[in-house]
Parts: sequence; C-alpha cells; structure tokens
Amino acid sequence: MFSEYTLTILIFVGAWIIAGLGFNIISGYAGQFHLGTAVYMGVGAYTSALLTTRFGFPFWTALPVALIFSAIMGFITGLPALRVKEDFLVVITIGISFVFESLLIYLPYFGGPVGIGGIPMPKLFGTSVSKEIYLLMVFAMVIICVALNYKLINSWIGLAWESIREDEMVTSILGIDTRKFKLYAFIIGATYCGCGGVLYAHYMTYITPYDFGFLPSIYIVVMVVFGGIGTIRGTLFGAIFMTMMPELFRFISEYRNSIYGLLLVFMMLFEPQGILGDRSYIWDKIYSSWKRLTARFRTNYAPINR
Amino acid sequence: MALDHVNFSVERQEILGVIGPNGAGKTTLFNLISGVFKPNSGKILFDGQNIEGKEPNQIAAFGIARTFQIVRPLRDLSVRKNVLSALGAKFCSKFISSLMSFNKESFIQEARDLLKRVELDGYENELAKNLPLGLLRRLEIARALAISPLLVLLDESFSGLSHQEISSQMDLVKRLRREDKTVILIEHNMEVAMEICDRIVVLEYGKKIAEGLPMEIQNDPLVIKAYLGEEEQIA
Amino acid sequence: MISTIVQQILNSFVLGSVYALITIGITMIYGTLRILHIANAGVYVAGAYTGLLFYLLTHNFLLAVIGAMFFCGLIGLAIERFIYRPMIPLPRAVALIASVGLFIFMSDLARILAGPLQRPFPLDLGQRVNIGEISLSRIDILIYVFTFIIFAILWFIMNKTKIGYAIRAISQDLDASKIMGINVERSIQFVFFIGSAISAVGGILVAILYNAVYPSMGDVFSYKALALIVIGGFGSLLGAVLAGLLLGLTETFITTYTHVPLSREGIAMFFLIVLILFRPAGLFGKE
Repeated sequence: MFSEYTLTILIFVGAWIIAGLGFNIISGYAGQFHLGTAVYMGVGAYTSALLTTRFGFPFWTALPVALIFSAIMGFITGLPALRVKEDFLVVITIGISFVFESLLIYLPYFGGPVGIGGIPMPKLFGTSVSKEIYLLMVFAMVIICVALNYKLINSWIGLAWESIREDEMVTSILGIDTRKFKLYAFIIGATYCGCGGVLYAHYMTYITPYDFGFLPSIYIVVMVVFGGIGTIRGTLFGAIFMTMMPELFRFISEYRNSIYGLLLVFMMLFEPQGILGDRSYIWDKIYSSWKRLTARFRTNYAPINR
Repeated sequence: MALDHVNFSVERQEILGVIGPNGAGKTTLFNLISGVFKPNSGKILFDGQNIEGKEPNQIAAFGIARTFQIVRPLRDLSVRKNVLSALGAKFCSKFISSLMSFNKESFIQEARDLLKRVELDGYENELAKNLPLGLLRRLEIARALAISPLLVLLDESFSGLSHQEISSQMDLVKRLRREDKTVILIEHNMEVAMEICDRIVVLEYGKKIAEGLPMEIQNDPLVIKAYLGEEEQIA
Repeated sequence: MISTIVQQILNSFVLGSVYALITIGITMIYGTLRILHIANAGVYVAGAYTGLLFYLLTHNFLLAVIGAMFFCGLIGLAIERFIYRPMIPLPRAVALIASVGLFIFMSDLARILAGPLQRPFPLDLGQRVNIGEISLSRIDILIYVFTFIIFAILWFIMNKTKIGYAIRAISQDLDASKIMGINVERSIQFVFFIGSAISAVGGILVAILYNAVYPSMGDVFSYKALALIVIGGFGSLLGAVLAGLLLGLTETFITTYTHVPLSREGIAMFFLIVLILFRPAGLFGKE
C-alpha cells in the first residue's frame, strides 16, 4: 500500500512524536528545560537492542524492560533538577548528553562507535512483522501515548506540573511537594522518550551512539518548540512538520542544521510559544475562528466570555 | 542576622499585626514561618507541633497559608486553574490520587465558590497575568483559602489599593476571623493596622521592640522613634 | 621523568591558554548579561576562517589577526543587538536555546561557505626551540605570547580604566549600575566586541596549532565552554583563566595516563555536572 520510503517516514514521525511528547512533559508542562532527551531514547533503544540481540529476548519482553530502564534513567537524571534551576539545569542536561554519548562510544559493551546492529523486528504469532504491520504498531503506540498525555494534563498531576512551571515556590507553599512532581515529570517524560527510542531501533535495525547524542536532543527541542511547546497539538504538528519537511524538500536536508539553527533563533525571537502554542499568533486566529464558527451551533444562556 | 530573638505568640481567631520600618525583617518572619527560610536556631510551634525547618509544602499541610507582598499569581494559567492548583494540593500527596482528573463538576464548582467568596467570580477564564493588582490580591487570598488553612499570613495585602478596595479587603479579613481562622498580617498602612488588628507586634532591625494593643503601640515611644528615625533617613 | 612531566604540563598549558582565551569572552558576557553565550564558539570558528582568509590575502599574520578580531567583534555586536537584547526580559532558557541555534547555524554556515573539508593554516615559524630537555615549537611560544599580551591588556582594561570599572559594576549589580549613571548599553556592547575579538584570536591560534581549519572545530569548545564558565566561577575573569588552564591540564593527563571511557568533552562535562551539583559557585568563584 505504502512505498517503503513512505513507511519509513511515517514510522519516524511516530517515533519522534512520542519522543516529543516526552520532552513536552518535562520541559513544556513542568518547565524543566531539558536539552538531553535523546539520552532517554538512547537508553530505551540500547536496552531493547541488547536484550534482543545479545540475550535473545523477544521484542515484547524487551519493550517493557526498556521502558523501565528509561524511567530509571529519568529518575537519576531528574535528581540534579531538584538542586538547580533554569539555565544551570539546561547546562547539566547538555552535560548529561555529552557524557552519555561518550560512554556509549568508549565502553566496548555497547558496541563502541559502530553501535549495535542486527536488531530484529518484533514477532507476532511466530513470524516477524512486516513493515506495514510495524507502522500499525507505531500508530497504535502513538494513540496510546497521546491519550495518556491528555489524561495527565487534565489531572491534578498535570496541573501541579504547570503550576511548578509558573512558580515553583508558590506551588510548594500551596502544599505540593514540588520535588516529587519534578521527578514524576522526568520519569514519565523519559519513559515516553525511551518508547520512541525502542520503536526507532527496531525499525532501523542498527543504532549508533551518535543517534542519541546532543544534536538529536536539539532536534527534539526544535520540533516541539517550533510546533508549540506545552501543548499536545504543538508537539504533533512539530514532529510531523519537522520530519516531513526535509523529505519533501530535498534542499532542506542539505541545509538541515542551518535551517534548524535559524529556526530556533527566530522562534525564540518572535514566537517562543511555537506556531501552534497557546496564544501564538496563528493559534489565536485558529481558535477565534473556531469559536466564531461553532458559536452558531451552541446555545448559550450566558454571555460569551472572551 | 535577619531576625534576632524574636518571640511572640498568636491566639486562635486573633488578628495579629506585624509592623515596623523597612528592613525590619517582617517578610523574613513570614518566610521562616512558611518554610521558605530555615531558621538557624529557635523554634516555631503551631498548635503544639514544631514546624521550624520543615519544607513549605509540609507546613501548608499543617494548615498555614500565605500571600505575598508582590503578588505571585500563576501568570499564564487561568484564574480558575490558579485556584484549582491550590485545591489540588490535597490530591497531590499520593501519586495515585494525583492521576485523578480535575475537570470534574465538583472541583470546578468548589473553585467557583472560592472565587465567589473573594468576589472574583466572572473572571474564571481570564489569564492571571491580565488582571489588575487589586484583583490579583484577591486571587492570592482565594488561593490561600483553597487549602483550608487554620492560619493565614497576609503580607502587605493592602498596599497599592484604592480606598474602596481597602475597605472591601478589610471586610474580607474580618470575615476570615468569623470563619474560625487566625490571621497574622504585615502592614505598612498604619490606619489599616490600627483598625483591624487585635494586637500588634513591632519589629525593628530584626528585633521585637514592642508588643501590645493598637492603642498602646500608637503611644509607645520606642515605636514612634523607630518610625521617626525612618522618616529622618528619608529626609 | 621530571622533564616529561614538565613537557606535558607545558603542552597542556598551550591548550589551556586557548581555553582560557575563549572562556574570557563568555565569562564576561555571562558576568554582565547572565546569558550563556554558546554561540561564542561560532564566533571562534568565524575567527579561524576569517583569519585564514586575511592571511591568504595579505600574507601578513599580524594583519590577519587584527582583521579577524575586528570582523568578529562586529559579529559579536550584531549578535548582542539583534538576538540577545530583545530576549533580556524573557526567561533565560530562551536566550540559551537561541544561542544553541545560532551556534549550529554558524557552524553549518561555515560548511556551506567554505566547504566541509579541512583546510590548512600554513604558518611556518621555523625550528622548535629547545631549553634543556624541554622542547617547544615556535607556535607554542607564539600562543603563550599572544595569550599573555591579551591577558595583560585585559587586566589593564578591567582594573585601570573607566569602562573596566563599569563592566565590573554591572557584573555585580546591573540595576545599581544603571542608577549610578553607568552607560550599561555601551559597556555591554564593549564586552561583546572584545569577547568576540578574543575568541577569534583563540580560533586562529588553535588553527595554526593544529594546522587545520574546519567547520566543526567549534564543537569542541562550544559546550566545553559551559564547563569552563562553571568551573571558573561564573564571571570571575581570573577564575576563567585558571579554569582554562586547569581543564587543559586535567584533560591531557586523564586522556594520556588513564583509561576513563570518556572523550575530552565527556571529561569536561563530567566535572561540570559534579561542580554544578556540589559547588555551584564554581571552583574559583566567590560566594
């Protein structure tokens, strides 16, 4: 049905959406700016890769284990966040990126700079799944992740996160243990990223340390910041747009870093909310048009508040 | 040293005023009580329990709420969410309960009721950052009330308000006492302090220099000197 | 044995001096604006390339250095004016992200304009110099000399001139400085100009040291610079210098004599993390 090329793109989009959601939880909701989320993708990917290639575990066992390890990594790397704020935290996350990438390169256990290859596709009913089925799997995971995300943001935990982002001290004064909730954000966000990493690894069938270093973390940041940080729609839009654009326009991938770099600068200068972020120029237009359109179909007994 | 051997107590349902010239350490006092600062020595007893050195969220759990001299709303969140955050604190003590949705009718209604108490209903959907100061002060109080406190610490909640706003704010504070709450308020506005407080403590340079009924404090030579001294410095 | 160690120390000091030069720029900028100017590494790359360009045009090293310093100083001014200045009221993470983006852009721009291949910087100064059992290349000596001169000039500016006083005041307390009538805007522009110019020199010196100019040469310093600011104590110039030297030394010794599974970046970053967590004032910071 789809060409292999299209399949690959769509699967990548799926993996990056999930990773982006993870980043969005840590940095968008909880406001803990993280420039090293690819580390969690790497933990997920490498865990699953090692379990399936070296220890012969099936994909379906490796996946949950990889998620657990990602969560643990999220916890460990989240601990520094309890002690430092703002740009120091960002600096630490950059540091973690480099140390992680370095360890993967220099410790022979992880396959060194060549990485790990021969990662098998998952098996269903005894046979390896086809790429189409894999796409379906990825799609299902995306749905699950987005649904879970909606649940989180509409629960007290999501509210606590946003509160922490706005003013941590006040949140604490209100009676919320901000340290615990920051850790929750890291743990859950890392798990999301790890999931994305696993999906990426088993499709690519080989992974290297460079797939999960500093630059990939930046790509995740660009995606979500561009799309609209702090929102699910922004993350989805950003991931889809940023993954597809270089494919649709060849020249973009030729100048990818320049474009991404400039994009970051311009977004920060003119629309730090992101294209579809809350109260961004475009989103405001879309939102108010939507309200006007649907106002006709709504019966209001009270005046419209705006 | 920010505070030096400051010693006082508050009775239930009392409105205690803390006054003193700038730099006396009044906000430091609140920071210590609410857990933002930890004392090097000394004890803070609340209802018989030691609370000094505890984290702010633990102290909130004891039933102490505070407002800030410079308002600190959750700027990019709606007024409703500002109050809901406070309401949510009790669900945030355990991970499982924090996964409960806050979009339930009962919670929204509870938030609405709180806003009504401070006469902020109707502003539910406004972003906190768009509100003027007077309304933000009320939001701070709504937020403080949302955690069902026994003791409310109000830090200069009357400053920057118009005459009319001051009078409705005073009504609010008196209503708090009627609801079985205890209030400590820091005030620079002498008229307000004298009118509304049952007792007053005066701080200067981190020390307590006077304590007593408003009448006594007004005529206390040490207090007068402390404030006159301040006037001299400014002149 | 002693002489080998001394040799190693001297070698790593060369690297350390360059680190110190680059750190000065970002330290001053952090001290005044509280922005982590990662894009400084982009200026460093620009310095190496423009230095090479001017040298190939004029065949005069000194002219090339001065030209590059001036050009990169202007780049620094532009960055301050058009990118950082609008971001001052925003949360600091915004400027940091923009700086990262800017650096990535600048590195890629170098690749686009000059091609991805490495180019040589052919500066021939003659034979190595031997003092007893220690051997130094003339380029090493050149680096020491340059670094020393720059430090000396900088020390003079910071401690004996009005603008230096202004910069130090701003680093301590921005608002108070404004009230005291210090021209903050002018001082910050000065900081960016000088800081960028010095980074450009750093780029040129490394280029001639390794005889290589290539687009990703900034990567090494960009994020390591963060480690250097932290180690150096966030705004202390002397700390920056010492941090640079110390890091150069540590890196060389660790990578030569031990088998730690970390790249040079990894080592720097590791210290960075440890320090931020346990001694946030930096190794040499006050407070």
